Amino acid sequence: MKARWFFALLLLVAWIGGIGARLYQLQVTDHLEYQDLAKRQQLRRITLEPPRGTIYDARGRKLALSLEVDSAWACPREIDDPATASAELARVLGLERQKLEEKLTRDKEFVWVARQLDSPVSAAVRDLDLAGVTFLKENKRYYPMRELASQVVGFASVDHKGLEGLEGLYDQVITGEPVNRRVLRDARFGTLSSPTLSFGDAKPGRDLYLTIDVAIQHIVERELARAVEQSQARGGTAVVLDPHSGAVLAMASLPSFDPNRFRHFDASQRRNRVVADAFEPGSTFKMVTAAAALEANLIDPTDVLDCERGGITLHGIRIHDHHPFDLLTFREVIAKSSNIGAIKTGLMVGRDLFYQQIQSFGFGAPTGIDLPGEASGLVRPAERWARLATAYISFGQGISVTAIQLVSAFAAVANGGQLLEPYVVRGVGAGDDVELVHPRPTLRGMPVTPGTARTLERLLEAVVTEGTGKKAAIEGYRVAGKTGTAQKAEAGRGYSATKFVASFVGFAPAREPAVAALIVIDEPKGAYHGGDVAAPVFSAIVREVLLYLRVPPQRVPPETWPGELLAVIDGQDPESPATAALDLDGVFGEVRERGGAELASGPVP
Amino acid sequence: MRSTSGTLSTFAGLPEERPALRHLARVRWGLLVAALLLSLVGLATVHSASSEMGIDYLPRQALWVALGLVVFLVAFSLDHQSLTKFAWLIYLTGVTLLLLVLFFGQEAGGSRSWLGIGSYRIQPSEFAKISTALMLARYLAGVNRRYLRLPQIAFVVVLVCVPMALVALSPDLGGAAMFLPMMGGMLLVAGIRWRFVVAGAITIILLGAGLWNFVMLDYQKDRVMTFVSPDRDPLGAGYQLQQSKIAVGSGQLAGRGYQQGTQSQLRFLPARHTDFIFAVLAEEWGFLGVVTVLGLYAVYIFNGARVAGRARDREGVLLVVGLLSGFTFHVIYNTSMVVGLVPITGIPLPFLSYGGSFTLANFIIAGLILGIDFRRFVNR
Repeated sequence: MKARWFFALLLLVAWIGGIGARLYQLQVTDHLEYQDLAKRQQLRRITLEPPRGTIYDARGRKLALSLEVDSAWACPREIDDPATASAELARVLGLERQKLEEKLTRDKEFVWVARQLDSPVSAAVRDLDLAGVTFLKENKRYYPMRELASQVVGFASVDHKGLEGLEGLYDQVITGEPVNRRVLRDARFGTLSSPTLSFGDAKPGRDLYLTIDVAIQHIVERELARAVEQSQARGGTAVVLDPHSGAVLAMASLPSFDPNRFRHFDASQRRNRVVADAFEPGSTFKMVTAAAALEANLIDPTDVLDCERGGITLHGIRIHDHHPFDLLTFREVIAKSSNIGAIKTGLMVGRDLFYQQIQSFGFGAPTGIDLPGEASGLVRPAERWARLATAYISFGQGISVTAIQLVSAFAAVANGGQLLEPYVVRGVGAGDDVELVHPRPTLRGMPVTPGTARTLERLLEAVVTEGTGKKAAIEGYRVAGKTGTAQKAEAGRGYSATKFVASFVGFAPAREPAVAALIVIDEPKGAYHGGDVAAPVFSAIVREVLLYLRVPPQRVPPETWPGELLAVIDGQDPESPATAALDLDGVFGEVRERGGAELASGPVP
Repeated sequence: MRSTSGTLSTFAGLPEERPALRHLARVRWGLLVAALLLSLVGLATVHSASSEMGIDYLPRQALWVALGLVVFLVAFSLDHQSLTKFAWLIYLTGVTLLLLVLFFGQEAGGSRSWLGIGSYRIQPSEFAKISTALMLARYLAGVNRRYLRLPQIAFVVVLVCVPMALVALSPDLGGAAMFLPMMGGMLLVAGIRWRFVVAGAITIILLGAGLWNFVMLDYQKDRVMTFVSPDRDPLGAGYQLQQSKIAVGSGQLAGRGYQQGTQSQLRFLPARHTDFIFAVLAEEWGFLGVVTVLGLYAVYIFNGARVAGRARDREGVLLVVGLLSGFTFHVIYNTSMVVGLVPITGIPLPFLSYGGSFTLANFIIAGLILGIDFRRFVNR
């Protein structure tokens, strides 16, 4: 009996000794190995992305903002019934059930169910109350104005990387400085920030303050869309800028896109054609021809030119006018847009002088606007011009320009001959600390003297009062501008007889200009003259913009009393277009539902 | 082995002429203090292991320990002979409860082992071990031979196998296996020939093989296979062992400090407040801490062995040996499992692991052992 007890005791002691030895091995001999394993699974290096800065319009309305939203993830092991769970999730999220079920049955501790959910969707998912489905906070980028100025604002990816437009160009400014942090993570992949392990805070992104005014942008897009629809055109572009500063008040390209769903749109819809696309300007370019001749003192508005009854032969090539003219004063050549008159003016100036004038207006080079992807347009050096190039370029063929170049050139005329750099970002900053990007206008050159600018202004006024641009007229204001109707060049087949680019570019009120604007309608059907298709759009847009900017009328026709106009300006008349433009609740209201963000109340620097 | 050595009193209970302090001196304090200290360590560790989960199990476990002290006093004050008198009744009650649990029990962790009483749940298998030990003690004490005869051994095996099979069917193989050391210890003390020991061992091995092939469920096989090759399925059953080893290993010599064990605080270690509480202890208190706790168990076990060695009668000896064998095996198996020496099975650590029935059962065992010791001089 004693031996048995001894034996049992011995076994017991041996076993306990074995446990002790094993503990010693794990905890003392090999502890580094296990501590390493522990660290490897418990520590995560994560990059803390600060929320992106907000993009504000000229009056502090939000064009892009980041909101904290829910992202749903799941721990598949904790989901009892993946089939039912995925069916319910698929219903709420509008996703495919099979794909969800595949995710929910993976042998993993963590799978994304759906990221960056809008609040009603995330509330619906929460209501399902599924075991194993949990939420994380992520920043989501919202574009509350949706299509409005979408090509200017651009968009950022789900991972907060600015891809296009200002979001792309100012990505580093808006993004701020992310910080790498070592954090403890728990077994479910949730990260727990631990103050002892952090290395500083992420620097939040800075806000952008634009020169774009959402109200003006809205007017421009509405009128442009109406015109594009009426003329069944392929598209249209429009720019409105302040000729005294170069600040862009509105910039639109149609068709446009909704940056909230940028994946659903083509690259062609996302491209900002105002800066990225070059086109043959056609007759609007006659302003440059005229400027060159006036600047060189070669012609006066009253000088008479023989327009050859609509046809001229140069180096054996016959060039026609759109309308046969006989004798026209130079003023009439511009007003009625005679090609032959323009050719004669251009030839009078000569190749080299003309080329200099073209360059001095900024054609052939980027304007330097703070938007990505700006094109230069095509202006060949003078020594490489073909024999007839001077003649063609005189009426805007054989040269290509961007919309922003063209409107800048006209703005220079409005601005007494000073060519300014256009810009869309007024300031950059956070909170009250806003740094102005363009504290004063950037002068790019003096293409014409103030005297020539004044003469050009009178010539352009005549276009509207007595020439091709009558439909650009605005009651109560003087308008200066030029129509353009360019045939589209087709690859290898010369100029198309059916495809046109109709345009109108000008400024108002003439002599005391507040805005310069360009309207381009691409391939209108039916009427295709710039004076018929683009000029009315210019009139409609600029009229409302002037009212919105409270620019007092210059001369009032007898039937319109200034008080009535001022009532419109003050928004007293709810039926007036100006009031409609100011009432953007339709846009804002929708946004409030989507993000719950307070809009239209951002800080104005 | 002394069976009856005290002649100071003729009745159960406290002799009048002895001052109370002398009575207290007769309590085997080492065992009691070890049990109480272990319970305190258990409460602290349960709190540390569970407070991160959202539910802090400390208040509930504290309630169980408080109830445990009550049942301890009850068990301590009962003469074991007054219990063995009703051994059959108690045994059959235990078996009945196990039957009930098979049909009406609640499931948790894959086993149907709990009976719901109001909002509380009891696990009859913990009490069935005590009732079976009482039954075996009563039966084996009546066998007045140096060595047991085969039919007697067979009867004992049947007595054990009925509740054991019911527990195994629930299915809780770990719980069922705990009947074996109890039976083994008692048979050894009651007198068994070596050849029967060997035969028994062979039978168990064969039975094990049979169970493996025909009875065991996949998750149970998984656990065994995981032990054989832990890298087989690192995210499945091997995950538990790996996390346990990481927890123990990163505790190193002095531990990471109370509530500083990242393995448990970050929820990497499953079952950290129940079966794997020893790993939490090892991570937070280090080698020194676990050796201290193992020391407390040693104090408990050797004090218990001392009680067995000088109990008044054969029934007492057998009962203490049975209960203590089960207890010891729990401790040894659980700690071995945590450090990866034996396959993982659901065997909690006495006084440390969270669990109501288990805590109560251990206090009853402590009470019975101390009671037998306290009355070793009492003669009937």
